[in-house]
Amino acid sequence: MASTLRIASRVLPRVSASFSKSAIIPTRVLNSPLSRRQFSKTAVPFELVRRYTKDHEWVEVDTETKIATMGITDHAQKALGEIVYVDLPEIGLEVDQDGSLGSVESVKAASDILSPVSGTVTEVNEALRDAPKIVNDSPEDDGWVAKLDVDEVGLEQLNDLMDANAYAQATNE
Amino acid sequence: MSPWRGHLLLLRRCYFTTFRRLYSSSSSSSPSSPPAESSAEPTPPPKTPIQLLRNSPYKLHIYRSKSTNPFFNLSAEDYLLRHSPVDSTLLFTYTNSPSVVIGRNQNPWSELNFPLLRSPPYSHVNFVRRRSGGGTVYHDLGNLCWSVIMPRKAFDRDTNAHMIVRALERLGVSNAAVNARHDIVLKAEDGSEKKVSGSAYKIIKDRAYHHATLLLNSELSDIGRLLHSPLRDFMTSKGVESVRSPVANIGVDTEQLVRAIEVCFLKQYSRDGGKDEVSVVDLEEEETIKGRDYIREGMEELQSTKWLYTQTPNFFLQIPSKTQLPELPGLPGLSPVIPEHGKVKLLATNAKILSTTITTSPDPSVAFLQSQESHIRLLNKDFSGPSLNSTIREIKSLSDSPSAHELASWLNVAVGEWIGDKDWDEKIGKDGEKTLRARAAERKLERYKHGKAKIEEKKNSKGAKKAKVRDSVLDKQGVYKVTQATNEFEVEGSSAVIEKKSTPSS
Repeated sequence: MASTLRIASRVLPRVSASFSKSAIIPTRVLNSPLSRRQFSKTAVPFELVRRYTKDHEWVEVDTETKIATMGITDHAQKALGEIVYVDLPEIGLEVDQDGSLGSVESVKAASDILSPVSGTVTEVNEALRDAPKIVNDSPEDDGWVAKLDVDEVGLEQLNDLMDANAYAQATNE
Repeated sequence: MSPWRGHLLLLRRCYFTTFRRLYSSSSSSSPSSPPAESSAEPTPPPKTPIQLLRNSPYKLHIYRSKSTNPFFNLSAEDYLLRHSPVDSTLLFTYTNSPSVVIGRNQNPWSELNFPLLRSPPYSHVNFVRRRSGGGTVYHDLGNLCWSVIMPRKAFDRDTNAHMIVRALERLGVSNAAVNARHDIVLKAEDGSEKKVSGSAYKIIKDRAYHHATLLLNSELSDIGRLLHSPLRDFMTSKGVESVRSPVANIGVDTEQLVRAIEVCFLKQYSRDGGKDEVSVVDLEEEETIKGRDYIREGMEELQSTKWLYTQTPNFFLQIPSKTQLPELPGLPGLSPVIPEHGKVKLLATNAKILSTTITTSPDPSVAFLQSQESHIRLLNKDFSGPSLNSTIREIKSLSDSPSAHELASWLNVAVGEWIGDKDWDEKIGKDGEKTLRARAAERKLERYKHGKAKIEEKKNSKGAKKAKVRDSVLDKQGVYKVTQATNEFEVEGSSAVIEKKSTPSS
């Protein structure tokens, strides 16, 4: 009995230590569900490029499938206040860079959503129809607005946009 | 009194008169531009200030509309927002003929009393959906609309409301204040508040406006009646619902108030110790539309059924059983009752019906048939009175039910007809030509295809030319020089592309 306890007391701290260590690593992975950085680091043929516009939209383009996902940035969401309605674009709408992709309304202000790149709308975030507040809660993830099919012109337009660092700098000014 | 006031007033009057003489193209006897009829080529008419606005060197602009057409005024406002120099600030004041104006993301059927709007004493009242957010308001000639257009970075929901409060103080109205909803209220001695001004905002790429109503001598009794929908109790809508507030008139003179607002505007936004040059322009509807296709096409869009009705956020209409529907104006003596076992449910997206259940029979198997047939018949139909009326009458399983027929007639009037341009298309105009938007988009794509080097080259040369023109303009004194210089410089079209190009990168 005593020996069992001794063994247990020797083992327990080690168990808890390894437990806490292993608990940290998986949560870090789980917290970033798409693990974008890890994907883009790997040398597979496709790459996710995330860029920001001066008028506070973000766009993430999968260079393999040429599908761009876009939405408004956290900075924009904070500046606008509580969003009460998102006017989503129609599927199949052909839009050029800076063309209108609907609007968001917050505290009596209607703000245009502009397309960061030119393309064709293939999907809109239907969840925003019932719960526009998702844009406030998770503007750069669950609160995406539309997915676009982009062509070479659209991919080239990405060069005009800012990366995360440049955008952070621009908004801090 | 501070020396400011006199100074600004003087400055305003002096520029006002200068501009009036030089720009008022309706009066052909302009002394500063003698007609050059002797030359073989007829000289083009002088450009109107709104045509020169994009390249105007002035930072402050005052526009007053001479039109009371709400579609014109709202489109002109949109033009001023999108085509004024990015670092300029504008004040635009206008008065509209009687109109009910809903916010961009509102449901007209739960906000407006369509049967009343379409019956005689009110049939001249316009139904308008504006481009900014917020709730429903009523405009008439006793209501002044003001709008401040500014750079997006300067956007703030309260600054301009406080400016108006100061303007009211100048006219002796001392109990005006801005409330938590950014509206202007009059405070009574007992602490109660009555709303006199409702604000709404629009934000685009680098510009924003704050526009609002100001009740001066409006028909307040009309407001309550016109904004009470017979369908409101049965509607659940996405989008924005109006917040109802008690309202009051301020009772000051419109002209006087416009002057006071202009003075306060100059005080607020003058950056050069009151020595700023200010462009003051009176807008005439006909001449402005002729000069700017963007405004004409904007007016067409605002009057299209697509903008007025189809833009409506998704909604659900449900009338509970045993409800006695109210009698409607224009349909006396009809107030149908939904039968005890009856169901009326209707879901619409983009103002088209997505699913329906209409039953009247207590027998479950008959009710099932009615529900199925009503759904199939009404699927994808427009949510308009005549379309609902005729389709419900076509449903065979409901043909024996008098209450269904009464309901059809009631909905016909309660929902009303869609009045507006049904063929409006943002890509092809009425003349069969491409619209401004389509042309602008095309030009833009063209530029991308020609490669970036060419764009850069174009940008640089344009920038240099612009700088040159501006320098020469600013060296010389007087306003008319601007006209001459910018006449050569004025670039084709009025697309957003060019607007962006002429934007100095910050």
